[in-house]
Amino acid sequence: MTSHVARIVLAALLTTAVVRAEPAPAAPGDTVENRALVHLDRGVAAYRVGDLRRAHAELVEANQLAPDRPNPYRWLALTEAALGDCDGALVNIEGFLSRVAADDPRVGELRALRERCLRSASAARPGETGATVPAASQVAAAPAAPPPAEPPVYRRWWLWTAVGALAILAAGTTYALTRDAPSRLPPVTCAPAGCHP
Amino acid sequence: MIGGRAPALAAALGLAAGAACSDDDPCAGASTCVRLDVAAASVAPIARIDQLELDVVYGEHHATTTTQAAGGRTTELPLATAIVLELSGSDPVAVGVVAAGKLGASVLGTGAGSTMIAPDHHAAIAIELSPTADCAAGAFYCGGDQLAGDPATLYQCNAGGVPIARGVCSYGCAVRPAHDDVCRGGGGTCVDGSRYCGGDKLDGDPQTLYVCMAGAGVTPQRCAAGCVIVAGNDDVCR
Repeated sequence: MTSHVARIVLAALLTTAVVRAEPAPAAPGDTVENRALVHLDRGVAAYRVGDLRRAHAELVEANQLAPDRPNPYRWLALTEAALGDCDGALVNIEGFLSRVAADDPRVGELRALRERCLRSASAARPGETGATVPAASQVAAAPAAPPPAEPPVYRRWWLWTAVGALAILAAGTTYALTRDAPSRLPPVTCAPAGCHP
Repeated sequence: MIGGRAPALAAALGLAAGAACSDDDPCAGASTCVRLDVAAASVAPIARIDQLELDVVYGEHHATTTTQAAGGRTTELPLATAIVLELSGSDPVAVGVVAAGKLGASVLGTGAGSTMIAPDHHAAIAIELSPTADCAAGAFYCGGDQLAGDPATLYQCNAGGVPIARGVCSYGCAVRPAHDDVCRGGGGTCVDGSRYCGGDKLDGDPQTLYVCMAGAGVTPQRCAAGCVIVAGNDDVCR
């Protein structure tokens, strides 16, 4: 029993060490691909222990280093969905699906996630975070995801409505001020005695 | 959410539409009024004028006047103005207008138009200013013959301004090369020795009194205030 507990503690310490470790300085001969893999592995590890913010940061690094690789897109999609950012997840789902063959075994998982995100977007029920994707065991292991972040201002409907309204107003005003209105001269009045301005 | 956007968009559209609509009718508020739209003809590069000289024949009346922007400013073409008529009676009247656009006392172009208007109604005349032809100052011309105007009206060429109407020709205006144009006589044959205004039973200027001689007018007498046709008797100067 004591040895069993010791193994668990050791495993936990190792996991924490991996997750919290600062990026190792690039060894001579390290390729971009390898560095991307390092970030990917760290991201996956962080995701698995529920440190979603860190996972996201690592996966973004991996994705930027190897933007043609599908796996970072997959893990980014899973992480963003877990963070409640279904919009971001949908972008990365498409990024993944466009880079793998249709019979890739991970396609079903990502399509299901996409469906959940789309459903949650259309339902738009307050409090619904959309897609939590990871397997049930992983979700159970993860700490509660932070509340969904406020969407950025450029995603607010009223911003674009206001921009559109201002554009229409500006166009209308410009037209009114610059249209070919004839100049005016004072009228003349003509009575039996004659005409005068 | 859509319902929330619609009022905002409708309000924006309404504001834009409101900004684009304004009352630009120069006859607004007038009872009997002819709107006058003046533009440069395509062959006349007239951009601005500082005076619009008008020769107006309205019913039995005739007058010449000038309208201009305050302070002697120039006005861009096209322009709009109004002729407000203060006439008694209930019958529609003919309104003939000859316009001369001037800049710095020079006539840049002339044009003419006419319409019928009933009391308490509005009408419109559109005039295009074309370069003036070489009419001989003081000579008489039918409208369209060397000067702008109504073809059924006799005008006197005015080198420094708008052609001045001598009168509407009830029986038509006759163009006579090398001579003054005249109103055609009609309504019967003139009686030798009797006096007639031009255009009344003998050819001539409507503001000149003639003595009938063998069907033609002789010894012309210019009427300073116009010539009056008197039914059943000799015509007279007013």
